[in-house]
Parts: sequence; C-alpha cells; structure tokens
Amino acid sequence: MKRLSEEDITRLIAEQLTEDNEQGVIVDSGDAELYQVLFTALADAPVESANFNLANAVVQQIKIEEQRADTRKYIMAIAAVIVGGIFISYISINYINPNFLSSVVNLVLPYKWITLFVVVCVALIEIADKNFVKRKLSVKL
Amino acid sequence: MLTEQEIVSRILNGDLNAFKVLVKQYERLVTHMVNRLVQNKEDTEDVCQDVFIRVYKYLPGFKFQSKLSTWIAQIAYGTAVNHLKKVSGKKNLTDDIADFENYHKTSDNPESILTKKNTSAFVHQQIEQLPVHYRTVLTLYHLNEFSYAEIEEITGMPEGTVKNYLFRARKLLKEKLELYIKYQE
Repeated sequence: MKRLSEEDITRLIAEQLTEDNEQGVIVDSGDAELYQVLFTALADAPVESANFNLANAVVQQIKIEEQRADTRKYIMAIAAVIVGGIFISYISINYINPNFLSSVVNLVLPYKWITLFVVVCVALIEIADKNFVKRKLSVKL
Repeated sequence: MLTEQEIVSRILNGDLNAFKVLVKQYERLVTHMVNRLVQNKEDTEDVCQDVFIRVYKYLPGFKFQSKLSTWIAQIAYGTAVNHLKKVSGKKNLTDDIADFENYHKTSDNPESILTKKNTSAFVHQQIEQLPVHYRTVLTLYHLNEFSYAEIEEITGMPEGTVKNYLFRARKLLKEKLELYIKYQE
C-alpha cells in the first residue's frame, strides 16, 4: 500500500473527468476542484469509535479455542481407551486360549521390571511435557 | 524490525506474541474495511476478531504468493460479506447496486447537510449510504490504497468492474459534495 501523491490525484481527476465526459455528463470547470476536495476527503480515515484492544481480544479467543481443542482431544483419547479396552476384553474372553495367554504371561514375567520402567518413563515424559514445556510456552506469551 | 516472513514463521512455531504484532500491524486495514462494510457498530468488533482468528487458522496455508496485506484484506472482505449476507438474508449483494438510483434521488435538506461538521465527515456519512460494493472499492482504493489489480484479487471482481464502480461511486459523491458546498456558501 502506498499513499496517493499529488500527481496520482491529478491523474485520477483527469481519468474521472474523461470517464464522466464519455458517459455524456456535462463537465464544467468546477468539477475538477470538487473531485480534488473529494479525493482528499476519501483519503482521510473515518473517525473511529471507542478503540478496544483487538490484538489482546483475538489472542485470548485463540487461547480459549486451543484449550477447547485440547479438551476435545483428551476426551476423545479417553473414549478411545475405553472403547479399546472393551474391545480387547471382548476378544480376550471369547477368542484367546487360556493356555496361550499363560504362556505369553510367562514370557513377559521375567522382564516385568523393564516393562514397568518403560511404561512409567513414557507416562512421566507425557506429564512433564504437558505441565512444564507447554505451560512454560504459554507463560512466555 | 521483523520482516513479514519472520513474523509468519514465529507464529507458525506457536509464538502468539508474534501474532499480536501482526494483528497490530494490520488492525487499521481490517477495521477500516469491516467498519465500512458492516456498519452496525455492535457487530464490527466481532467481525474484526473473526477475521484475525481466520488469519491465524489459515496462516499455515499462506505461501507468500501474494502480499500478506492483500491476503488479509481478502479474508476481511470474505468475512464481512458473509456476515452481511447472513444478516440481510440476501444471497447476492450486487442487488444493492440496482437500488443505487434511490440513493441518487435521496434529497438531503439544507439543514441536515449543514449539520455535518466538515467536508470529510460529510463524505464519510455519504459513503455509508452507498451500495456495499461501491463502499468496498472506495475503501480499498482510497483508504487502504490498493491497486486495481490488488482489489481484483481481494474481491474477485474483474478489474473493469472495479474501475466502473469507483467512477460511479465518485460521481455520486461529487454530486452530493456539490450540494453540500452550495448550501455552505
């Protein structure tokens, strides 16, 4: 965007008068002056009403919407876990052979501490990410 | 001073402070457009907010193929026009132009003309009575100072139509201004 210079305004007036003439409007000497006044008035910004802090209002709204999206994701994740749990329970009850299951448990049992350690680590990383990294980002804002 | 690319890249990395900078930079452009198009002062703040929320939402898709100001003006125009369509219930806002003769014939009495504080205020008051497309092109060209090609990109109107609306709108305003000056003398 650039400001209209005097030259631009003169050119615009000439264009406007030519166009008026072509449309059969009788153009007199006062028209150029009127257009000059008009173009100056058009370039003035209208008086603004009470100025509210748009930037803060928008950012606040974005934060609210992001929070809502996070809550939705959380609810969806819980719903997925519940549905998955029900599905796995159904499969386990109906299709898994108890002998096969006990052999799998026996296979995992020697590594139970490693498995537990991995699960706890993943959970801690997730909690730390949510509570420290993301919170720190929002505090910075 | 950050460049537009740097601001956009920071916003895309989740920096909401950078987005505040962008809002402040383009606040005047958006509020001028929305104020001229929407007119109902209670709705303008909501529409302005909506424009910048859309800017934030669609920013990942902005590839600097056009100027950022043109892209934001495009969103502001679309949002304001959608709002007007929703409020008025009209599907096509060009219908307004068919009624512009009524505007032309509306005769302000001398007293009402003289109550306008100055020429600029009088012109702005007259602009508010123009059809929406005339208000749009006048605002984009004279206030926001976009070129014909940029206005075409923002509004989707062909360049010839933009020029035609500008000429007609200015001619109408000139006639009103002529009356105003005559009554002042």
